[in-house]
Amino acid sequence: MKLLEQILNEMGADTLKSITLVPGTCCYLRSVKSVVDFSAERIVLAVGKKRVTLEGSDMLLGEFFEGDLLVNGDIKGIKID
Amino acid sequence: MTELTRISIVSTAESAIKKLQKAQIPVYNCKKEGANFIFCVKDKDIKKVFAIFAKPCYNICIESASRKNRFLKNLVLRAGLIVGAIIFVVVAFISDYYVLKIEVNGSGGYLESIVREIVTEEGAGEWKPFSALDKPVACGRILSLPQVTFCNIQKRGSVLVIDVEVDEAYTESAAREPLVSDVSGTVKNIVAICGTAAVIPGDTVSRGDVLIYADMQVGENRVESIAVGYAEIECLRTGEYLAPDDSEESIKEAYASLFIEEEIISASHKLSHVDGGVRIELSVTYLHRISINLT
Repeated sequence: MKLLEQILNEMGADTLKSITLVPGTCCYLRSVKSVVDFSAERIVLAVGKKRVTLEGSDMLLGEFFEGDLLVNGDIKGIKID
Repeated sequence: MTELTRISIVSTAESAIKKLQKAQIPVYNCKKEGANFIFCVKDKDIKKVFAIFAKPCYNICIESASRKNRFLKNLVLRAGLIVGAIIFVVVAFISDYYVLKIEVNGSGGYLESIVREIVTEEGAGEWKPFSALDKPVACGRILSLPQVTFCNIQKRGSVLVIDVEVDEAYTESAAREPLVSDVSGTVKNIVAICGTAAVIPGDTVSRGDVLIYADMQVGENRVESIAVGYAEIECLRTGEYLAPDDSEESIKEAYASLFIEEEIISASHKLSHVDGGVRIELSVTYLHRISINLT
């Protein structure tokens, strides 16, 4: 992980606004401001000035605290607007 | 794992999450079920959540309490049962720790009174802890009884069970009667190993008088037992003998005519001449020994 963080930092990426996807299981997002829309098939999140849309099935918010959000379920796609 | 309480609220997920995040309350396992938004929070945050959604426009309820809260609630609801269980455990502990009854079993059951006396002297007793009994000493003392061949002391529940086995031959021949004097005289010595002595040295007894009773005093009660022991009685026997002369042989024959086989303490005779010979008046004091249940 340290190597990844080092590479991302050198590329100028902000690791505090990362999205980690485990296909078929869950997705972990950081710096989530709020939940804009929520259903088992579609979750829209406000992350910074962007909107992140997760699409899939049987999705639920596993944990949400201080901007860190764990979404459980089978996530088929992520869209950033 | 942290204990979580599941809460259901009639609200949009978005606004509910927003309020919870604003109050810095971590939420878990959020999902929508129709108009209800269901989520979990830690037990410590329940009051905060209800405070946030206290306004009348929110319909909030606890759908499932955490295991810890359910357990505590059950405890309160079943306080009587729990108190009863605790009392039961305490009573069971006390009854297991203390001796509530003493039983003497086995072929030596007839020695119950003396066995009880021994274990009582060695620390056992009703409502006394089992540990107060000096088991090896009590066992040794019971085994030292003349007829006992086996002794085992153990605690079964709250009962102190003493198994005493005696020599079968002894059991079969043991007399259950008291020791009765078969002569008249003065008691010189009395030894009651089991049972109760009815006389003391110096007492005068007649034929048929009881010397050792077949019972014992245990506490305030008399309990049946066997009489084991012996008595030595000083007896006087007198007699007359007609001898042809006063020779030593004649005197010996005179004493022999009394048929005394016991230990003679003292003997005296008086001679008087009569027609055709000598009359010998004899007076013999001897020690008569009588025993019961002694091998």
